Amino acid sequence: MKLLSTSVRASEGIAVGRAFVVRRTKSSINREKGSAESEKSLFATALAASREQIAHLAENSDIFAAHLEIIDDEMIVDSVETAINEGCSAEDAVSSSCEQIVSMFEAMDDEYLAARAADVKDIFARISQNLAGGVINPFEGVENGDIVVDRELFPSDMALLDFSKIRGFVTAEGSTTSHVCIMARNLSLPAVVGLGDASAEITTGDRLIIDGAEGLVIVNPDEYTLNDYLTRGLNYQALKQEQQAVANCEIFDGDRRVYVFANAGSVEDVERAIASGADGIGLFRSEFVYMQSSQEPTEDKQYEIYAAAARACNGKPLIIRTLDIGGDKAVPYLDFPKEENPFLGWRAIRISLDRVDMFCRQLRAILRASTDGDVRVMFPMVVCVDELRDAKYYLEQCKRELEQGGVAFNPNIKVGVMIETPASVFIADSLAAECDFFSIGTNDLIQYIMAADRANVKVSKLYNPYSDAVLRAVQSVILAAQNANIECGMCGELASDNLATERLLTMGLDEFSVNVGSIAKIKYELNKLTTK
Amino acid sequence: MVTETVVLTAPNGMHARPAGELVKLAKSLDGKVTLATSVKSVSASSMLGVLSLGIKSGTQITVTAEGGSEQANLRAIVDVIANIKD
Repeated sequence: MKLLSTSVRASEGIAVGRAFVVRRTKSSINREKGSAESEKSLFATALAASREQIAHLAENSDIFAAHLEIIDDEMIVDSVETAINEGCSAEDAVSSSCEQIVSMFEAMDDEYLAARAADVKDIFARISQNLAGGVINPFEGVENGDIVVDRELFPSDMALLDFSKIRGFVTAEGSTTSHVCIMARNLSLPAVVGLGDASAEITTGDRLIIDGAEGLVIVNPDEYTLNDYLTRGLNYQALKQEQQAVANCEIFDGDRRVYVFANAGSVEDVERAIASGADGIGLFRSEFVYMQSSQEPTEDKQYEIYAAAARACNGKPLIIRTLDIGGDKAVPYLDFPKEENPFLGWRAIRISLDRVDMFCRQLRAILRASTDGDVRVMFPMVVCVDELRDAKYYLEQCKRELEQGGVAFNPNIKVGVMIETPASVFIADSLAAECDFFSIGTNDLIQYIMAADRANVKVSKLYNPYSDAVLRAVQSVILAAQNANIECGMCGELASDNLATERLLTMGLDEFSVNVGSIAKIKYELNKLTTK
Repeated sequence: MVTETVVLTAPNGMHARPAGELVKLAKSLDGKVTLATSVKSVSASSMLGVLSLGIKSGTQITVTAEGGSEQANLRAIVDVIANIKD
């Protein structure tokens, strides 16, 4: 029995099966090299065949539609023909051009561009195979119930593989965002990627256990381990099925609708959340828009992203939290002073109210996106009513500017306060009188209430969501919201904890904003509690 | 052959979408256009080529048009690069 593990989280689930290790043998035809002209014409034929195959695959795949663009790129033809002119055979010219172009992309420090290397490799592999007489199926010999093991899996492989036969994937290369992971998650197949050279320890015929959530591969397990995982696998599947069955349902506690929203850090997260049954987005962390570039994103750029997120919500609510940086998150274009106590320092709404121009660019972008869906705005780290009033003052000012410029927006956009400081708990009634909703951010609230940093192992046991002080704070915030007749949600990790669901529901929480992966779990829990 | 130098000011550099638009335009022109940075020179009609320049914000790009209506082609490409805003 051997244990292999990786820290990359690819696609969760447990599978037991026979390993099928893919062999990438290069097929070749023994032939005499012809003149440059005849080598070029062999290449042209293989290129045309490849283009035709890809065009066929592109009919229902965005990935292959992109390949179709790339295969017609003049750089490919130029570089292969140059190599042929220099005396290479068509086959050698294709492989040397491939190496050259791939290394060019792999060297880039941009994740998106570096990932194009995989597309280029895939396209060149197809051209090589067509030169050798046709596309080879590397999955010849895959049996029902196999787990496919390979160095790297490409989009073309996905088109050749019969997914109904296989139970999972293991690859040496790849990251959470590789094609193979996205595909595996969409198909709910467990996958372990990024194992590195450890994957060479697996041979076809080995019995494998893979645990995608843990990034674990067990090769040739003993009987005890095998039985243990077979049971775990069955339990996992049964529970998943029960959870999935209720993922899209609407939850009512008596007459009161209870929402399960999701937290999102990108437009892709929003898409995944809505596809997974979320009733809306309870926390759209706008920080990522700011942190991915070296300069402040323009109003237009922000608008594009917020509008795309709003459209991805399909009419369901999208709560955009204004910039929450400082504390442990910094951006290069804001001059952050070195602080003794960053968590008690210049962060979130405090920065926004100091950098009004920047704040207004964000508010205008959010307002413009409010015509693309049910967009709401939420202010983080509020500690007094004046901060809320100031923020709302700038929001009104931005509305007037847009109105004067003839730009459309929703004048009744809902405004919320994130309750994450003890101060905001004490004045919840006053805040509730001047806003439309609350969302309790438990992660910061717990650490401020308990005065304990959860990353500090010496005190992390004090960071306890179930301590009396925290639970009383949550209850009093919910009551303040109910008295003012506004909705109260929760977007901290406590909302994703199914052990807390019953308690929060009883307290009167209206909306649970959870991690995308916990939507079905919390819906299942709420459904159980409200229908019994 | 005509040449002009332009600086890309877009904060995100030459990413996929503007590169796609630039390539589409270059393909529609009646002459050849090349883009060069201090590192290398590529055809403006090649998506792989344009992306491979890895142009970041603030990079100086030398645009060269050859053949066809050179001046107009040069103008068109330089304008597109100067107007990339995101």
